Amino acid sequence: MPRVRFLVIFLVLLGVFELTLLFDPVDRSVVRPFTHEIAVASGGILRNVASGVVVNGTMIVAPCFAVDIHNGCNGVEATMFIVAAVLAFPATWPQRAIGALAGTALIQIANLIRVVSLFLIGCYRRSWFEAAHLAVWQTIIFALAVGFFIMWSRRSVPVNASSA
Amino acid sequence: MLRALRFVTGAAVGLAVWWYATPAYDRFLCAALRVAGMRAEAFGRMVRATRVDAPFAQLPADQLTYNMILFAGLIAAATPRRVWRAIAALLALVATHVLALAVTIQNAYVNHSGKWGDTHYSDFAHDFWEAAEYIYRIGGMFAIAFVCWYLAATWAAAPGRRRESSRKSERDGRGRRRAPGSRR
Repeated sequence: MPRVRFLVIFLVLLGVFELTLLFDPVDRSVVRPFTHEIAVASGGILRNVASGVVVNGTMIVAPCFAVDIHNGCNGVEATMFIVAAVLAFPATWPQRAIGALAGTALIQIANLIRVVSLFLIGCYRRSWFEAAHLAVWQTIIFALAVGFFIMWSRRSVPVNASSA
Repeated sequence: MLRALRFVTGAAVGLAVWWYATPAYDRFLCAALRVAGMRAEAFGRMVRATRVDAPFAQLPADQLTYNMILFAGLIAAATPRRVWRAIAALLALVATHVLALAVTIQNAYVNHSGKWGDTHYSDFAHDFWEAAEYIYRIGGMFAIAFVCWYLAATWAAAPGRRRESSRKSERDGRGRRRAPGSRR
């Protein structure tokens, strides 16, 4: 059953990737610096639309609002989702590499839009922040991840297709 | 493009259902937990775990169930051929919500009840329950929604059945073509 095989490999890879996030050295030397870069990029965009925006570590602070970017809001988990799905799919290795890179780029661009928009929602419509932060943007990010994977997997020829 | 539109519509319906039905749904989840022997009460969008021998814990249960928005979007975008597959996938998703609430309650007892948790549980239990809730919340919940939908949407007939039906269709006149006037 190739579908079941795909799902099992996908879930195992995703579990392993997410477990690595729990290790302090990974968090300290990979996730936090990466999240800081997201905060810097988002802060750079926000300075064009809001005044007094300052970035401190993983925090973006302004007179109107402040956010601290954690795991779950840095796009890492959705990136892991795409990478796990792409690696589990029986495509050729070059196709997998392209899929993983393109998926990562898509998610990180979408995540930048998420951070900026959530900050602005926090500034101007604070009562919407909680629902937008969890239900809306998390769903959009993972919908993009699923949508990207479906489109990529349709274009990628499975490695056993020629023998079928 | 049409699929994207259907996804957005389905997700919007899912969001509305999640938002307005959460209090009732939380009561259902608590009732399901009581069947399994766990004590929990829903109030609004929160759940209060009420174990007799431990301090009670309050949890935002709605944060465990919003993967139904993604699920609704996916089901709308690519509806399974048989309705029962969609229903089975939904039931599987609901079962994982019950499980997620049980894990979150257990994690609240182990890691967020101060000295009580420290004296009653080992270091391994602390790490295990923390990791279980973390993995579910950080991306596992969306992976579950994706897997439920994927299984329902791509469910193929069992190989033996498929072979049998293809042989039958060959006998009947190759594939979908039926002899004129032949009965179903």
